[in-house]
Amino acid sequence: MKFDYRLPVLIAVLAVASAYYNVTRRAVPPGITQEEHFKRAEELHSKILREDGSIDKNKVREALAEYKLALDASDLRLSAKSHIGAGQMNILEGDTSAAIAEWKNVSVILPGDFESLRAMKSIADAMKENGQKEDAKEWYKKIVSEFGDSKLPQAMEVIVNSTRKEMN
Amino acid sequence: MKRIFLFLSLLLISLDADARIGLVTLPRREAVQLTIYNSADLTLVRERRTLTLAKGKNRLEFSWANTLIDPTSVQFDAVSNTDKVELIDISFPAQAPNALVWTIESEVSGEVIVEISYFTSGLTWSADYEATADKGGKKLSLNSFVKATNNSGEDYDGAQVRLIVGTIHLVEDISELANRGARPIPPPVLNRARAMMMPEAVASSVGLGGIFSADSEEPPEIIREGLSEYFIYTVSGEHSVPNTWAVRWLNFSQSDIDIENFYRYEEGRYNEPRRFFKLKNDEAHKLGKEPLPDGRIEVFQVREDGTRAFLGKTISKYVPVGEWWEIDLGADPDVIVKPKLMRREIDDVEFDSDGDPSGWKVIETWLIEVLNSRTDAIAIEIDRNFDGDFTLSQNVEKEKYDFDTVRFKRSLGGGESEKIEYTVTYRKGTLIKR
Repeated sequence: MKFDYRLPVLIAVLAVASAYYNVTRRAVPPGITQEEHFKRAEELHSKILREDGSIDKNKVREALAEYKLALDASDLRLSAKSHIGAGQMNILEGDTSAAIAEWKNVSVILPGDFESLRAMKSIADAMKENGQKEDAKEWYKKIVSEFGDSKLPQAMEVIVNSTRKEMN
Repeated sequence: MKRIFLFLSLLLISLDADARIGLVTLPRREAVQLTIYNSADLTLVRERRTLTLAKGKNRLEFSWANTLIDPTSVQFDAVSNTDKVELIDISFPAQAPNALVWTIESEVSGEVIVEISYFTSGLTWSADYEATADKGGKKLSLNSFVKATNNSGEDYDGAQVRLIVGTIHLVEDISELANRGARPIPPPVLNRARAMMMPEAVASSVGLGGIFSADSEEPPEIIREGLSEYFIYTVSGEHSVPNTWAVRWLNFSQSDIDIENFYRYEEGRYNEPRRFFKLKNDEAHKLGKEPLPDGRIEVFQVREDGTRAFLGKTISKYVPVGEWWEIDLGADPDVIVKPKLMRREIDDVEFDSDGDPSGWKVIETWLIEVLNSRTDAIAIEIDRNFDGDFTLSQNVEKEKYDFDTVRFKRSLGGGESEKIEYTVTYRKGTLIKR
């Protein structure tokens, strides 16, 4: 009697399809929005300073991971703030160049904005702290050229004025 | 629950040595002034604190995490030793999200009074009115309240509250307005807490899930002043406006205001006759001292037995000084208006050279039945709208209200009815004269 392959083949096809479905569906984690990642990061960020004044490195790393998950948010302000937060975590990790790389994105995402000024000032200050005085001076100049001619609120004007002194 | 995280800490740091000398958490605000705008979700906060500065460079951290503060608006100014204290730099600490650090150069060592101001959203205010008509509906007692609601994420204790009526156009205008005729932030006084409920909700506040008592023993006075197109209410005394709470104050109370009590019916606008109280915001009506901001109004009427009957609740529009105020009390099923089309005919038809009609008249006869099944007399206005070129019959008492509206004013005694009959002639096509 000839063996009928049709039933085993059908079972095998269904098993493969079922496995594929389970793998592809179950591999996707429960949906967490980038805004939620950002909120988690901010929550961790606000708790990284221990009562004795020391930094909780585990929370820094967790916050950095959460900020990174929110970097490419479609909400540009959220994205810019995530880059700023990630840069701050890099500074606390001792990685200045990674921080500067994060902050550079902000002036591209929100040019002319307070967040951009905040990021540029942080870059210049970090470079100065890191001994890169000439590079820092270039960034101070960049701040003045971008914001120096505008009528600004005090919170921004003081930064630009202090930057003018740093240029020389 | 997320609570306030607006805090100031003084980091006495020698910048040259870059070593922390000490961290001082500042005492509570000594004074705070809230200027709340009702036309935009924006509040100017001005707060005063005494800092103990070291001679040289000092660092002061300001955080706006979990609040709705606009960080670009944050401003720092020394009030004492103004020429000896200077804000020289702002930086952003890595260890705190949504925070900035002011670097302050001080030529003096010791206490310096500073003012910190900023804009925040989440603080709003609105007006509430409570009106009680007498038994005859001829006189009105009016209580006007102002209510501030705080969802800004920040608690404000001991705050002087200023409420702005008027439309704002630019943030810069707000700042300018806030400084024009601005009162100095009041000196600190002891916080006099009390847990007393007042029957008419004077100086009481209603929050989410409870009642919160205001600080002062006496109901606060509302000081009113006009500034060109704006009007400022300043609530006397100091008040706590905690996050997620609303606080209400009595603005003014006026009795014996003459009112007109009337009904209005307009097909298409109101399906049933609506009752209105009408009064003018002027001295003759014992008002007129200020514009009346838009807000909710609850209307009552005194019954024969002296108790109050609730007539209705409605939204009142902004009423400038000198303008009439019509308070809509809603439909009254005891007053009925039924317009009926009794006859319709076409007449005086003209034809063009092709034999097609080019002009004609439409003549309609209407009968409006008005019934007052109340026991008291009423005055009623019935508005009828007409399209195009029309003429109304002359033998009916009426007045022209506007271009295409005619008003029939009638007075009916208790239980009386009246029939208003009129004929309207519409001219169409080549017969149109206007």
